[in-house]
Amino acid sequence: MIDTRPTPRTLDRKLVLLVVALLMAMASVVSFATPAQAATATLVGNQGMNTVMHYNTARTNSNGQNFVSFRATSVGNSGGYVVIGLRNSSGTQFASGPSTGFGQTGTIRNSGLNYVTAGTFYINARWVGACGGCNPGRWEGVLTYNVRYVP
Amino acid sequence: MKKRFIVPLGVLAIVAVCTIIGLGATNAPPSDDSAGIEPTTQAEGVGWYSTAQIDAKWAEVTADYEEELPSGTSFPVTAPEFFHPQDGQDHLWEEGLTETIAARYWRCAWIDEALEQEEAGRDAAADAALDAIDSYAGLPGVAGVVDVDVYDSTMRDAAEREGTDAHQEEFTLDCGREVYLPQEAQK
Repeated sequence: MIDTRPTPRTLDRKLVLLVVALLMAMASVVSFATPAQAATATLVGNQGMNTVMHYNTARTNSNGQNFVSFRATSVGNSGGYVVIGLRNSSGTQFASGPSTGFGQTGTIRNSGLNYVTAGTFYINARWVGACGGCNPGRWEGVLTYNVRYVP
Repeated sequence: MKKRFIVPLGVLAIVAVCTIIGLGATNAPPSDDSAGIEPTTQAEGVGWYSTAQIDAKWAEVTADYEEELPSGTSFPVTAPEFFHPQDGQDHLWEEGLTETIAARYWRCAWIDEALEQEEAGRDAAADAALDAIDSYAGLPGVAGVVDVDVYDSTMRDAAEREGTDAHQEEFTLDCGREVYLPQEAQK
């Protein structure tokens, strides 16, 4: 009569296979469950006051409600502020941020909402509040978008 | 040199000369006539068009467009309202934005066509319109600029969230009155 009871060796092999299968299953779940990626974009402007610069890259917020922010990393020596606006093809300037000075982070929101709605947007920027005679000025900053908004 | 090598070498020389001439013609820089409208401002190594230039730039971009619009549809003669904000400020438009918006107009026109045909029960025509959209990824202002796979996936997610079709959702989100006016499209 053949003894079909598992030996310690076959048990080890089955355990290894089970662990490998579990790891593969977990990996597939993680890869399919990865949420929409937050994205950043470095923006640079060199403009006069009262000039609105419209950037050419179309970007998309994929969450129903998105947290979008802009951090000014440089405004030169002029003490100016950057105001970021988002436009889509369905409405004029559907979202905008506050005047953001050096080192500050401003949150960009749809009018009347605390977040930015889904869809493709085009960035525009104004440079305001700089000292007289500093016109035009150079600024830099980082826009973060496509982050799921949590109330 | 032996005589039997002279003829083959001669043929090779002729082929080489023709090839060089051909390559030269292919890689020749565009003539001044094709240089087009130059941006009015340079900032950070990038060109920016003024609003005064934008209608001419739009006409340049949409003339002889490389992919056809749906039958009976054409690009507006002047740039869409997107490029004409009424806020009393000076606006500058980054090089490439006109091409991106023209491609968006083109895509919206095909989605509009597909939705119309679908609503009328003309499934084959609707499918043909959706097939035409595949060319979007290669259009100027899109190729190398927009990750179309990611974009399509985003629209599918949005549609799933709203319980609708991906193209219907895209039409709602990204085809609007400032770029594409279905009721006023040049049909």
